[in-house]
Amino acid sequence: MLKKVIAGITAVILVAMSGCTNNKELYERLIIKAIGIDKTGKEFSVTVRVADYAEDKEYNLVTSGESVFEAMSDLQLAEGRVPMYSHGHFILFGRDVLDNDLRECLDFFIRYYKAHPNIQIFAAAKTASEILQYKNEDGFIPSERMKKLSGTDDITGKSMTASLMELVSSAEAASSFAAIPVLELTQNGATISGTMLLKDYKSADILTDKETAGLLAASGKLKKSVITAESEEFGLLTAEVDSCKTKIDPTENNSVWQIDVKLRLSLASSSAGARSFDDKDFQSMEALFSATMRNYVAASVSAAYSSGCDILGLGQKLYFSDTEYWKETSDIWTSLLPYLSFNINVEAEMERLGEEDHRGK
Amino acid sequence: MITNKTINTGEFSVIVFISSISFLGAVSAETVGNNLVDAALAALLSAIISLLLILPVVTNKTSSYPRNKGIMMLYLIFFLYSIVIDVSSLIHMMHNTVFPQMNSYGFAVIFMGAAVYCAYLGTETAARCSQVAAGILSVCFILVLLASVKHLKASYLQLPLYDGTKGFFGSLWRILGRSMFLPQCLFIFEEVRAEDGKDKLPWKLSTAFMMGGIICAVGMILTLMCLGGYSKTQEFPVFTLASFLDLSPLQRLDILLGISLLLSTLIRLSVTILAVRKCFANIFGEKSKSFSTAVFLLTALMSAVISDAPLLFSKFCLPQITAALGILIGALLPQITTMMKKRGERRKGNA
Repeated sequence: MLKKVIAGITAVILVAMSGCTNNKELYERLIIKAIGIDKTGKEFSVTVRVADYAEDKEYNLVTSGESVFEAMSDLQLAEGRVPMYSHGHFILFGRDVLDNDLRECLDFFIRYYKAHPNIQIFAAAKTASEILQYKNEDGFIPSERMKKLSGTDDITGKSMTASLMELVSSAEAASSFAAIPVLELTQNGATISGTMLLKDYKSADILTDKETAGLLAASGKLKKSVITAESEEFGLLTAEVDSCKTKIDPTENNSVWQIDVKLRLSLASSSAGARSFDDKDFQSMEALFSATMRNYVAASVSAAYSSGCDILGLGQKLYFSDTEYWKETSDIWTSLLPYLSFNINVEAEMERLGEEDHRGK
Repeated sequence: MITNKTINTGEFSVIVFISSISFLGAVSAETVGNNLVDAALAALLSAIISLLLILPVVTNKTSSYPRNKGIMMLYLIFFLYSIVIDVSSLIHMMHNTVFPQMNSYGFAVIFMGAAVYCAYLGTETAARCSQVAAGILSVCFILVLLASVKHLKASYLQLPLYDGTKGFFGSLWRILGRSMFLPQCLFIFEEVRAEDGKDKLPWKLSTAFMMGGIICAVGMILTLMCLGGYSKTQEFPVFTLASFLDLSPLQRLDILLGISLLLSTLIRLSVTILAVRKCFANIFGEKSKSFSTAVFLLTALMSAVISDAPLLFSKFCLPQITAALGILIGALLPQITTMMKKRGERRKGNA
C-alpha cells in the first residue's frame, strides 16, 4: 500500500512540479550579449546589445533607471521578454560611471545569481552607448568581436584582460587596485587604446599601450609583445618579445623597490635594410631595447604609484614576506605609495640568428 | 514500519564520510570565517577531533547512548534542531544558486518526505544510497579539481592565523557544528553487524573522517586560489567556483555539485530521521507512530519558514550549539554512562 501511495505522490510531483510549467522558450528570452552602462546625473543609462537569432544579427535596446537592476528590469516593458545574462560577452562602463564609484553598478553583477563571473569588463574612453551604438556599413560592431579584443594581451602585450571576478579579486586584495582595458572608438571601429587603473573602484589614471607593456613587464605578465627602438646606426628596429622574467624585491625598509626585468627578444625588422649584424651590433641593440623597455616600465610605475595604485601588488608581497610590517602599515598603505622609490633594471637579450651569431668569434 | 537491516563497517564509514561533508556547499566567509586557509586547517582539525571523540565510543563494546528518558529528550532536541539547520541551509543554498523560483515550502515537504521514506526503508537503504552519493561526489570533486588547476593563483592565498587564533578557533567551532554527526553515529552504530570486521572499524572510520576533512580543506583552498577576494562577495563561493569551471564538453559544474550535495544532505537527513524515530520509540513507545509523521512535516515547514527569513536563520541556526551539544551527547555522555556502569558493576562484584 505504502509503495502505491509513494508512486502516486511521485507521479503527481513529476507532472505538477517538474519546472516545465513556467519555463521560457528561447524566443521568449532576451539574450543579452553585451551591456553598456553610463551615468547621467543620478540615473544610469543602460545600452543592451541583444541577439536576434532569427535574423542572425544583433540590435541595441536603451533603458534607464536609478539603479542598474531597475533599468535592466524595465527592458521587459519594452520587449516583453525575460533577460538572459548567461550568454553575455562583456560589460562596458562609461567614463562617468568609472569616475564616480564602480561599486554602484558592479554590485548588481556580483550579487545577481545569473550574472557570470567570467564576463569581461571594459572601460569606455567616453561613453559606453557611443561604442555600442556605433554603426558602419555592416551594421553594429558584433559583440563577439569586441569581446575578442580582451584576449589580445597574450598576443600584443599592450592590453590587460579583466573579467568581473578578476576585477573584484584584485580590488579586494591587499593592493586594492584593478586594471581594465579601455575601448575607444576610432575610424576602424572599437579598438583598445590603453589600460585604466582603478583605485578603490574609481578611475585613477589611464596608461597608454606602451605603458601597459611596461606594466605587464614589471609585473611579470608579459608573454608576447612587439617593441620598437630607433637609432642613427640601425634606423627603426622592431623586436618581438619571446619571454619576460621579473623579480621585485624590497630594499631599505620597504621604501625602495628593486625591479629586475629580463627580456628575451628576437629581431623582427630593421629600417637600415638587409644587412648582417655582428655581436657588437646586437649588444648595441640590446642596450637600445633595454632602455626603451625601462622607459615604459618607469612611466607605468610612476603614473600608477603617484596616483596611489599598487599595480605591482607590493602590498600583497609584504603581506607574505614581511607580515609584521604589513600589519602596521596596511591601513595607510595607499597613502605611502606616492613616496615609494623604484630602481628599475631591464636586461634585454637578443636571439642571434644562425648566420649572424658572432659570439666568441 | 521501519525495515531494520544491518550494515557492515564499510557502509557505516561511508555514511559518516558523506554526512560530514554535506555542509561543503554552504561554505562562505559568513559560515566559516574570513580566512579560508584558517577554515581549511580547521576542517582538518575538526575531522581529527570528531574521530578522536567517536573512536572510544564505537570501539568500546559495552558503551551505547544512555536510554534515560530525560537524556533521550536531549538527543531528540539535538536531532530536530540539526534537521532544521540542514534543511533550511539547503533551501537557502538552492534558492540562491540553482532554483531561485523554487517554492521553499514545497521543496521542504518533498525533500523531507524523500528523507523519511529513505529512513523508513532502513539503515541499509541509507547506506547503499550513501555509496552512490560518495561515487557522484568523488567524480564531482575530481572534475572540479582538474578544471580549477588552470585558474589557480598563489597570490590569492591567505596567511594562516593572520588575525590570531581567535578567527581560527571560531572557524573550527563553526565547522565542527556544521559537520557534527557524532550523536547520529551512536544511533546507527547499533545497526552495524557485530561479526563484520569491527576490528578494522578504527581504520575505516579514520579514512572516512580524514577523507571528509581533506575534501573540505581542498575545496576551500581551491575556492580561495581561484576566486581570491571575489569569494568574500559571494554567499556560496564553492558554487560560484563550480559555476565558472568547465572541462571541454562539461560546461558549468555547479549543477553536478548541487546534485551531489543534495544527495549527501538527503542521506544525512534520513539517518537523523532514523535516530529521531528511535528517540520517539524510547520516549513515547508505540504511541509515537501516530504523530512522528506530523512532527517531520512540522519540522520541514519550520525549516522553510526559517530559510525564507535571513534574520531568523542567522539567529536560530547556530552551529556553536550543535557543536557543543553534539560533543556532549555524542561523545562525553556515552563515555560517562559507560564509566558509571563499570563502576556500578565493580561495586556489585566487590559486594
